[in-house]
Amino acid sequence: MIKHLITYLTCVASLAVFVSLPAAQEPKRKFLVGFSQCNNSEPWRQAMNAAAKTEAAKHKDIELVFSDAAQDSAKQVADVENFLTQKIDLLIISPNEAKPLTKVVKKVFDAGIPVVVLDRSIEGESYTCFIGADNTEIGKAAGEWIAKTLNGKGKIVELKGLMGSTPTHHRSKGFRDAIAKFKDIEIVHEAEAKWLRDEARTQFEHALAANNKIDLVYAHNDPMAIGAYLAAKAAGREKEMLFVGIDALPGKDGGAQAVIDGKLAVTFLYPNCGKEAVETALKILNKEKFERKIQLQTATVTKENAADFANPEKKK
Amino acid sequence: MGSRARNLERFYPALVLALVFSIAWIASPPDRKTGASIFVTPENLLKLLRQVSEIGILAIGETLVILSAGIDLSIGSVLGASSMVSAYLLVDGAYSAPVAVAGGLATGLAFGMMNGMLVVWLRIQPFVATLATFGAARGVARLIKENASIGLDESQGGFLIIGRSFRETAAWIRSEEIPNSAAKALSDFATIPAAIFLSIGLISAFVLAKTRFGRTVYAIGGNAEASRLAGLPVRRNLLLIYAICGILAGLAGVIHCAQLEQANPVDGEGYELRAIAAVAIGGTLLTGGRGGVFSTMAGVLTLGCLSSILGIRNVRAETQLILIAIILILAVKLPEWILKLAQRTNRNT
Repeated sequence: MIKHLITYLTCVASLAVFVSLPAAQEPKRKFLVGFSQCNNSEPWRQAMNAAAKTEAAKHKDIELVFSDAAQDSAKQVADVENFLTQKIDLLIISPNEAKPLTKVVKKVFDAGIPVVVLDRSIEGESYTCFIGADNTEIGKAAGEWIAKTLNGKGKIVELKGLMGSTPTHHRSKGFRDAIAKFKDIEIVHEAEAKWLRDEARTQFEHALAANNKIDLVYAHNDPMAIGAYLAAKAAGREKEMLFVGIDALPGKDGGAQAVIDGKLAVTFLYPNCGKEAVETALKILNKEKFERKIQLQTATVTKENAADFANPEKKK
Repeated sequence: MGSRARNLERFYPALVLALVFSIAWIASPPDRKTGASIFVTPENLLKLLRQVSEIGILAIGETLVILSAGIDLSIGSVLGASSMVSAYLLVDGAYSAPVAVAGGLATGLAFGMMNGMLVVWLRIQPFVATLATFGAARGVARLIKENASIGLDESQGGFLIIGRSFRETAAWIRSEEIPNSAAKALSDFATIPAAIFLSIGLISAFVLAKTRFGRTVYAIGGNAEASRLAGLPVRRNLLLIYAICGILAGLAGVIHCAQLEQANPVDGEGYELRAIAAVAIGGTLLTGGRGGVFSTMAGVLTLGCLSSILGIRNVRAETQLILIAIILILAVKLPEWILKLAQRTNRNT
């Protein structure tokens, strides 16, 4: 029996040493900041995490730790609870959904820990700072660019994100408001492409079949605009029209690169607030002045400036 | 294998749980102010119980089905459907909390009966039958509000206490304001979902061990044909097993809805696999007949400890998935290896 115990304890001890090794190497920073991300598998959120990491690396005082809820609100509640257990000094959270996260965020806030909420809001006022961008404004910027570029006349196809999701609604509304006064701009076809490149390709094939002339495709994100481009290219009609996307993500697969490559005519930045979140967190922790609600501005990304967005690390 | 080894086998799940718990204890980072372990505090352990309660209740139902040599893939979808039905009754129907709870449980029962009837009457293999229900229940969840979610608010307080702490519940019953005090008592962390999970566990363990129904479950899983020839009501009991599993999934859905104060048609996706993993880590054989509810609860807590310590240590989500896979395999094999090793050392001396 004692031998059982010894074998067992040896196993426990060796595993424990293995698990706790990284702990010994962690440097002690002044502030521990928990970043609760709702879904790491979205490219836009990866860009947000990367921007936050890059910004945090510039400051000695701050240690940033991440959690990923993989689009599960229940998991995100547990993630925030784990941060509480770790006694973080500040919480940055991009909530998966407002309602289910409100209670746990309030718990953090009521415990005297500042909370920076990103992108999607929570209910009530139990947070220190909100940073986000306005999708209606972005849709409007796209609509205005389109009206100007087409000289107020043309046939447009609109490829929408997931129906019932707020960004889809806002990106569509802003765009339609902006083009409403141009009588000669006509939306000849609209379809739900669910934010996906392959779905957009299929949907745009239908649009191509139904319309022998299309001047412009407005897609609610870059992957859908690229999907439409692929469909048009397969039909030999990609020169006939312009492709407009939203997001302007960095990287080889991102929308900014697609503008450089000439696939998209333009894309509009949906700012990811990662950098601003860390900046604001530091201001709060150092008791400096900060704005309670920060709305980030979009940017028009064309061939001239796309390189800055495709590779933000190089941008000065 | 002697009877002594058989006896020891019953303690495998507890052994694995103790192992993971000890690792978590040692690997826990110290409190940044006091230097004490932050994993083993009453607060964190009570939080952990709350975090595992839904999967725990699902896994208990799944244990019954697996003991009978079946499998139920539908429980995650049923959780989603029952959660939507409860919220729909509360918000769109403006019904009271008991009606909403009954509605959620009835949804679970209906899908459980559907599973049972497909398996017993149409003789469809459990995997296929419950795969059909898996799709159907998700469809129902999404149809109720055309893919939209339903949010609850404080006016549904009677329902929300199902997902809350004891102190909040007491405050609601006495209809007092909940003060925001810095001094947290244990009643802030002891929660109704955790209490329901533990009670369901105790009741199911009792039913399995002490009733005729319980013994029949094991007999069916051991050999359904022999049980039938021995005159046991196999078909009736199978129906009952799937119905119970369905009701428990419905109950988990009600708790889910109350905890998140919202029902979303995609809720519970993948939960069935986590429940099955907990059952497997608990050592219940997927071929039926061997295992039990306490083993499953140990399995649930093992997974809970693991995800808690990995979360507290900020292990990347991607790495967590891989580590949990390794633990799943080790949990099934490690106790056996340790015992073999121990027996060999005993023999050599």
